[in-house]
Amino acid sequence: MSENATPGPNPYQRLVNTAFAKSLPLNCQIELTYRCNHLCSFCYNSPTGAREMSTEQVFVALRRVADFGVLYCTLTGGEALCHKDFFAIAAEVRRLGMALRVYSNGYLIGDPKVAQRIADLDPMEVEISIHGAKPETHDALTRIRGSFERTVRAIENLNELGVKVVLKCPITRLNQNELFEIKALAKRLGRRMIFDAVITPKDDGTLDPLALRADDEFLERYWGEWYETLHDGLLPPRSNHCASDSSANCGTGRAGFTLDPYGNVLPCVALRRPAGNVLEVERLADLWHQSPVLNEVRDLAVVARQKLDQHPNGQFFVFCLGVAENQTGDPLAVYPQAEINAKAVRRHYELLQIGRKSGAA
Amino acid sequence: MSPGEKIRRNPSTAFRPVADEGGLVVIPKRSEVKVLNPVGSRIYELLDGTHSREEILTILVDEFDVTREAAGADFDGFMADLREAEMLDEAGMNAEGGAR
Repeated sequence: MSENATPGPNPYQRLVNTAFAKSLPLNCQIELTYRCNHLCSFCYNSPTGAREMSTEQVFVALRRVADFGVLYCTLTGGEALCHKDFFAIAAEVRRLGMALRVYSNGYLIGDPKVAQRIADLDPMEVEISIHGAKPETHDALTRIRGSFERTVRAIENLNELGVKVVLKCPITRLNQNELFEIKALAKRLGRRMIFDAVITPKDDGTLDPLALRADDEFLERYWGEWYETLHDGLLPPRSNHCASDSSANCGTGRAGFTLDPYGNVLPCVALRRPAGNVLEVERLADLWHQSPVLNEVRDLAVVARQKLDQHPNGQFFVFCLGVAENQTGDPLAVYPQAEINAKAVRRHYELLQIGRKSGAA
Repeated sequence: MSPGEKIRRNPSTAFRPVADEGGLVVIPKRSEVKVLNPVGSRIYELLDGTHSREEILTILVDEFDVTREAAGADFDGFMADLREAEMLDEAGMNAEGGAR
């Protein structure tokens, strides 16, 4: 009755595909607060000044998310641990039967007592952002002196407690030349490293973060030459990780959703079109299936896929409707970073084919 | 396991049935996700601390095309698999109340 040993297509992927096709969200990302103890200049958060959900309201939201049948609940921010009741909220996620993932900058987990409290929550995974291989780079990006040391200590603390940690690095102009050193640091810490080449505008459309975007020449080489080495032999992706099949560009409004600190239900973390407020509906399922916003977004993801299929490099795009909308005003407009990405990835796959043919000869 | 004993899944696991096609179980301690077929998923759903083996077999015979004998054999094998994977609440057996 467990399908682990069943031959044939990956049974996990089969179920994920079913959920995707039926728009049954397995994931919910909750931005608990916009408060943060870092000052990253590339941060996309745009607090509106509205009142964030109270802890009691977050508990109501969690109950609705769990009743909706979400499996994976991610707590993020801002910095999620800056919420005064983070641990009570995270414990409630677990009590309600959801798997817990935490996104953190690690600063507070540098304290062994905090790390122990995290471990006690039995999280599925903690993802920690690291911005450089040395304090000068990391601290320059977080604009908090000493943050590098605290983050590394956090990873070591969680390692000692047996918590699964994944490291993430948003690639910027300041750290683009030390990615291999960052990778080596992750290896020394015994953890998987994920690099993210997409720096987005702020959620309110302000373009300031783009000033820190890695330069185009670097990005071409990253996608075309370095990606595999930096990701333990994985080939560069040719579609969004949240797209389960080829019918839609991504899982926005389908595979999961995001709650912002005010309780707004968003189709995903990138495409920030409020579909309603979790506190104003009895059942999330009603909002999910009836919202005109979500239905439009699902259609847009299908149209985006069809549009990309017409593009010469269409099979090599990692395209984000949210970035497109935020950067150009049009969720279907192909933005420059996606163009560069697709072109370089195509070149990489073509070179691989040539290499294989040469090897076979 | 005594005949009337109520069985409970490990509350530290996270479980979600997916349509009628099966279910996913996350085991955080092992960093594993188990995939269950439709019958396994239904059983795991019923392991909420309010059903005994016999009660679950009655439901399975009612809902699936299976004899009680065959269901019983499959159920016992499945319980052994779950126990090995630490997916049962061994300490909580017969405890009051259910789990979500």
